[in-house]
Amino acid sequence: MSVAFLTDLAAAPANDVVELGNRLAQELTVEAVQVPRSGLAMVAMRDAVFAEPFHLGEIPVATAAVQVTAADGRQASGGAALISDREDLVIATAICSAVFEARLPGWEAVQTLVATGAAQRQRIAASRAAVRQQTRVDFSELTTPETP
Amino acid sequence: MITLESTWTSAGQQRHFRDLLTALSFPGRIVPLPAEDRSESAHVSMVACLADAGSTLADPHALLSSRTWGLVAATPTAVDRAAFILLDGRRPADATLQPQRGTLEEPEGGATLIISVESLGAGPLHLRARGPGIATEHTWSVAGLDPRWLVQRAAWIDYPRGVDVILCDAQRIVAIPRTTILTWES
Repeated sequence: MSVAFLTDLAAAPANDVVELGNRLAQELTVEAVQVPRSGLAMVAMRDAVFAEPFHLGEIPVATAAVQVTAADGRQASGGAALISDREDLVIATAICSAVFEARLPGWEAVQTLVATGAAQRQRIAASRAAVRQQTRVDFSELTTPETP
Repeated sequence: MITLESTWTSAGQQRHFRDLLTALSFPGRIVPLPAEDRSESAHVSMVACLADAGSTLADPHALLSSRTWGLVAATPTAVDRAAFILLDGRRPADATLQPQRGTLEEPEGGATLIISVESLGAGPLHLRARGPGIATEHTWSVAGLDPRWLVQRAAWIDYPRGVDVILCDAQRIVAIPRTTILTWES
C-alpha cells in the first residue's frame, strides 16, 4: 500500500471513510492483527547542528492492522497509522486499504473516496500556494546598485 | 467493525489486572478470572494485561500463537533480558534459563514468570506458602508443574533481588511473589 493512497484516503471526509468501512465490514470477516490503539505520541527529532535528539511535542496517533476475508475466501491484510484520536476511523482506513489492495468487493467505492481525498489535498495545496504567493518578497529591491 | 475478545479490550484487561492485584496481595490464593473474560487461557490473559508494545517478552516454549504475538505487540526478547517470561510448567525446568533478577538498587528489574500449568487446586504437587499476605500458612495443590521450577525459583531469589511467579491454569491464577517462602511435597 502506497503512502500516497493512505494520505489521499486520510484527506477524505472522516465520516465517509467510517461509513464505508462499516459497510465493507458487513460483507467481510474482519480480524484484528494488532489491537487498535489511539493516544499521544512524542515526535522525536534531531537538531541540525549537533544532531542531538529532542522531542518537538506530542501528536495524537491511532493505529490499526486487520486481516479481512471475503465471502469467496480471498484474504487481504491492511493497516493504517493516522494523526487522529479516532479508533473507528483508523480501523475503517485499515479495512479500506485491505479491500483496495486485494481488489475485494467494494474496492471501487474506496477508489472513489481516495479520489475525493486527492482532490481535497490539491485544493488545500493550491490554497496554500496562493497564500504563499501573496506574501512573496522580492529581495532584489533591497540591494544597493553598484556604483561604477 | 472489529469484534475483539474481551481479553484484548481495555475493560477486560483492567478486570484481569484487578484480579492479578488480588492474587499478589494474597499469595497462594487461587483467583478465578471473570467468567465473561474466558475467551483465552489464563496465561494469555495475563500476558495481555501485563505486556504491551513497550514490553519485552520471552516465550521459550512457544506457547503463544503468531496472532497473539501480533495482538500483544511486545518485543520478542531472549530470556535473560525479558521483563516477562512465559513458561510451560509441565516441561522440566531448564537450569540454563537465567531470568533477570534486578539489582539491589533496582529490584523491580526482576522478571515476572508466567507459568502455565494443567490445574490449580487439584493435583499431585502440594505447596505450602508462608510470608507477607498470608496470615499463617496457605496450602494448595497443582497439577502439571514440574517441581524443579520451584527449586529454580528458590535459586533465583536473593531478596530483594529475584523473580515473581504467576501460575495459570485454564481460567485461574495464583501469584507467588518473591517474598513468599514455599515448601512442597509430591
